[in-house]
Amino acid sequence: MMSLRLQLGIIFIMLVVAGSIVHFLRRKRIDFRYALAWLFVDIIIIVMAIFPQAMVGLSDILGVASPVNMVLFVGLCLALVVIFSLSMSVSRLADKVRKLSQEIAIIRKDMFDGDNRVREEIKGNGGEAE
Amino acid sequence: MKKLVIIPAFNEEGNLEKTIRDIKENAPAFDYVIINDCSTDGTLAMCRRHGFSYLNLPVNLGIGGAVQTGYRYAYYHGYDIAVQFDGDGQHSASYLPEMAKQMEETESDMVIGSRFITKEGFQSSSLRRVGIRYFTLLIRILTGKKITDPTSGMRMINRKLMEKFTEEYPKDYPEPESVVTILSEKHRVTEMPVIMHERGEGNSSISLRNGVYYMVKVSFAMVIARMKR
Repeated sequence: MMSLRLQLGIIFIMLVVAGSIVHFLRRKRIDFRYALAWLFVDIIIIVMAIFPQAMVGLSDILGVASPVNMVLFVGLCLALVVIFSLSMSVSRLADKVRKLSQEIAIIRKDMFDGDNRVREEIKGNGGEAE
Repeated sequence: MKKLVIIPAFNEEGNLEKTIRDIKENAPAFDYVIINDCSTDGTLAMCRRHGFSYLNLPVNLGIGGAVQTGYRYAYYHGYDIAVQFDGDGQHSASYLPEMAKQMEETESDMVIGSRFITKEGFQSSSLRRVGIRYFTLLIRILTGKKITDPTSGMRMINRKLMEKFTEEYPKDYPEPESVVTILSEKHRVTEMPVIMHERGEGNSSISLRNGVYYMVKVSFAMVIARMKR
């Protein structure tokens, strides 16, 4: 079982983390969608620390020796999910930056060339013949 | 028929002037545009000084993103044909009219300039040739088609592929992967024998250090490209 000291320690740290997330949310340093993911992880860990008994059954099923390790393992898995979703976000952002950079380069050249016609970038109508 | 030569350039100050002269003299029916991908040498200054036609990328996008910029430009400006052409002196513009002709006659969507049909001219190092042959084999396994020079940077495409590549094009080492993609979609790809030269100044984007990453990344990307459809 988990010692009371460890339980309180985990809960305290997770509450500090939750407070920080809310703090950054209020200062608009993090988007809601990412803040929610992290808060979810945070809350799961708090719940597991409050009810370690609930972990015992799960530990047995998965063959994890102690509930403490179970808490760490679940926390790690959730963190990995969040990190992977960040990789996907970064990839999407990179695609957007790429497209924007290309558009900027083209607009600049068109302006330089004195070509002010707006090109509708609708599929199938992207390159109106000149 | 509006035709555009796309010249991706990263630190090609020493070679560009010759390349542009070559195009103007030997492929006068073609417009050209240089894509300056945040060169750290005097490439941009030289383009301005000579009044070259260029697109200046605000952030470095790598070879795939640079070439895609050219396709996007060609597509927006109503070009019928766009051809990727290296700015480092490896390619000869005298082949371009012939490539366009082959494209029309064979109704190809893409024509690749291949070093390995007549096996004349600069044949690349033996290590690289092994890699290229491996890609040829992999393409054959994946698509059943034979492409002798899948890494060639001299590739002509029609408007249909321009639209496609504007939407989606690989970021790095794009050539073999994009060939698999379009072959999987039943587009027509033909090759034309060309003679290439050893590059002028500057270094290849693929060093031995990157070689392993290159082979793994491109192989994986080719398999994924085949699975997509």
